[in-house]
Amino acid sequence: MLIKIWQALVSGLSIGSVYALIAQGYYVTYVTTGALNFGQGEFLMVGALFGLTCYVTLGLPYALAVAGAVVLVGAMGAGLERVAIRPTLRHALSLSWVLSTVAVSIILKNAAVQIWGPEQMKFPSPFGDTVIQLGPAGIFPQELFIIFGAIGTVLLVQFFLKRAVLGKALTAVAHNRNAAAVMGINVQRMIVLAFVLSSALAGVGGVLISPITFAWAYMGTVPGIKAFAAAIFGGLENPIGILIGGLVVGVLEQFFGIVNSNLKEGITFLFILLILAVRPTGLMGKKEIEKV
Amino acid sequence: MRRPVFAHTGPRDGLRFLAAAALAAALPLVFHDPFFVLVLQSLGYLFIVTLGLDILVGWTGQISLGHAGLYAVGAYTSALLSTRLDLPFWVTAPIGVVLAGVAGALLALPSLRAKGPYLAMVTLAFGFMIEVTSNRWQSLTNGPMGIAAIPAPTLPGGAEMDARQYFWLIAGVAILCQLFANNLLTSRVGRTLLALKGSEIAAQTVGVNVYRWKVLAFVISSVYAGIGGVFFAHQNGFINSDTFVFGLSVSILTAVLMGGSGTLYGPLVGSVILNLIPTVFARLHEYHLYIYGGIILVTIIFLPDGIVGSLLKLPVLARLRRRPAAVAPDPDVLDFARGRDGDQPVVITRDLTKDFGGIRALDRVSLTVRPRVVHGLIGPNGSGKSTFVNVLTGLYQPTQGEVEIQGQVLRRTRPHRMAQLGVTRTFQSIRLFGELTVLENVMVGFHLHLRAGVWSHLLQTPGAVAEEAAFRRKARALLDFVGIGERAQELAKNLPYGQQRLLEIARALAVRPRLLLLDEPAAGVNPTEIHHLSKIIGDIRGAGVTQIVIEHHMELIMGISDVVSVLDFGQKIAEGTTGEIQQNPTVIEAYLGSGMEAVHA
Repeated sequence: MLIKIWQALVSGLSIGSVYALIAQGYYVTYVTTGALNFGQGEFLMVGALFGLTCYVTLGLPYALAVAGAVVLVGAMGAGLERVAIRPTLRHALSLSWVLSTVAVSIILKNAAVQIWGPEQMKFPSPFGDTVIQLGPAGIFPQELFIIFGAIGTVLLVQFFLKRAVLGKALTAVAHNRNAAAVMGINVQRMIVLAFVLSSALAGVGGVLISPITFAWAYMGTVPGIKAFAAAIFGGLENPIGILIGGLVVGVLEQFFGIVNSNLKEGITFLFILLILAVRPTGLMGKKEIEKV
Repeated sequence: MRRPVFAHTGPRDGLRFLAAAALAAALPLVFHDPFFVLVLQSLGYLFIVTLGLDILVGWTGQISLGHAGLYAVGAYTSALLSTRLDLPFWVTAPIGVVLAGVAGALLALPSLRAKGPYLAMVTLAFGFMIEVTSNRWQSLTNGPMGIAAIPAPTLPGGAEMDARQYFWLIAGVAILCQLFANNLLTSRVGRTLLALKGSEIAAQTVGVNVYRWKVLAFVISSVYAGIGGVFFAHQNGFINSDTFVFGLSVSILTAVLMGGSGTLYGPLVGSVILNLIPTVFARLHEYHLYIYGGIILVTIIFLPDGIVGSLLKLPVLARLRRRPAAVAPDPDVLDFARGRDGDQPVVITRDLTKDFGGIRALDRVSLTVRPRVVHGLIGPNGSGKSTFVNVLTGLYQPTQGEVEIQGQVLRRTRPHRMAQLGVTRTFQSIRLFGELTVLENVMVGFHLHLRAGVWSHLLQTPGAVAEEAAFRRKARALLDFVGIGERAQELAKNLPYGQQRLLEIARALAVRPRLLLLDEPAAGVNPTEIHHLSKIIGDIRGAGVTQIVIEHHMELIMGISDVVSVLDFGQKIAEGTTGEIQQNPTVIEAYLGSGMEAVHA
């Protein structure tokens, strides 16, 4: 039993860090525009499949496959902003970007099926399939790589937002769009940047995760939604909360998976419902005081 | 967007509904291709679900990404009861609908305080929970293998309905659903829901129990989804978990937006068009997701008001719309003071304190407000005036201290409860119900005095209709009282700024307050209007209503106040007549700084 728990903890952390990575993308665009990409999971899927093509079909090194996925999916983020976000921000229904980004994700799924087919494909791990012993649990090297890769990327993004000039400009737009514009920051460009960054994170996530799952056209939806749950759990405006949220959701799922595989699928949603019933802005979100 | 005007209800729409019934009766007789009848059935029940979602999205301003879950509750309940217990459709169907309503009430609970993406998450999580349950709880639902041999409804003789008869049943119920929705939405219910959509806070301060009304909206919406689900389950005699997925919720929401959210007939137009598309493009199966995704994008980008919403905006059609009948004012309403309370103080606050984190915005403020006075409240920016009003009206809970109203001592309370006790307010930053007309804004103010409830409005009972008419006349009189009677039928958001402030006063008077708090009523108002405003405040006092007026405009406050209290750094530093306050050295120091500081500065 103890071994199972240990094993669940390690796999939970690895899948959870991918959730955290996707959710970090939600954070970046939510604070700048109040919108996020509901098709983030499909962006992850494109990253995974394109990475697979680079790595296996074209025989490029894994690092180049990662880079390729980042560039392609990042560019898709710019397109998404233009097509599905910018026209919706003044829409009568305040959450219409949910539908427009879902629409893009539907189109992407169809495209993926046509390009890569509907089958599940094996994405060989660059670190091989030899199980390494970590304490009592056996673990794939890819799982360790995911944890370090994903959390490292999240921290890198935070560093970028806090330290780099461009990142600071983005943060400024998030805090106060008008003030940022007055300071000479091109707000529109920063919004595009936010979506590029957010999408690139999904691209990285895809290349990281598919060696331990499979790569296929329908792989994205569920991780995308679970990452959204993780972001909500931590509070959409709290990057550290989101990181913790991702890990908690991942581990929680694996723990319940020990008991019953059906519970594993539903537990995240039950959990988030309970949390939102008690704390309507997430466990670590800021309590909103509406100014009157 | 122009809203339907809440004047026409019930009987006058009768012809339209008879025509719809005749059309529905004729359709399967004219086109008797079995596939066509099947499509008609689907259009019917999907329309019902779409209409229900619009009540939530378009009228209440909530969102649901989990409507497929509610649809599933109706479908599975009826399917399981009729296959496992051999109960007839006429028993299982109502149970399915009721259970969907119960599920909606449960879903409402975590939805009440959640907003924006958080609300989206609640409904999404609910939808996925149901999706996972139907897929995985195989002993109950049989998952993707599904439930087969679900019987069709029986006719009185005992024979099962054929496809045509089943369509007639669905169409009849659909027409009733539209009729009931019209009755609800063009009456008090729709008005109150649109008020919630406009401003929850303002709705609360006129006495609307926001939580209860949101639950109501969720339940109505879920009942409609449940009806749709039941019809779906008995259509082909087979259901499985593949139907009740996120994609279905997206499709229903798209239909709402395509038709035009917040319109009466948008759901009909949107659901029929959207659900016919797969039939039309059936041959392009390989590309159907491209087409579908493209349709959603086009709808959102190019049709933000939806088809019906855009049509209503066309000048040609706008002119054809029935002009609402003029409403004769009923001046009785001007006797709006609630009980002339003798000489007891209207409100006493004792040591009222409010902290925000480490900041003490309000510091042991004790204030006694005598009846029928204008009590001025002044102080420099950040002195705690607005916090005081917010605590007194229940929008903020005090950290310490208490409020006494009519002998009742309150420590924590909610805004609609304060309105029931006769305390209401206007807002510094205007909070009108922008999508309602000027008259309807005041009608929402009468919330606590209206007796006809949801059921009476659903059936448009004579009592409910008469009550609406009577109160419209009262509302008109209140508008005349503040001087904006001619604008009664315009949308509130189209009024000029100064008149919006007057409308807020009229809406607050409709509550028949004991105590009316005016939060900076002169902010942004021009000098002529300020003169008008001070006359109105005088008239309200004359009618016997006690008022607290917060204002920076010294001339106004010194001209109208009987008593003035001064706040500085959250504390009450002075109180007295206007003459006393103007001479008070502490007050002068608070506003201008001491002589020493002045020299240094």
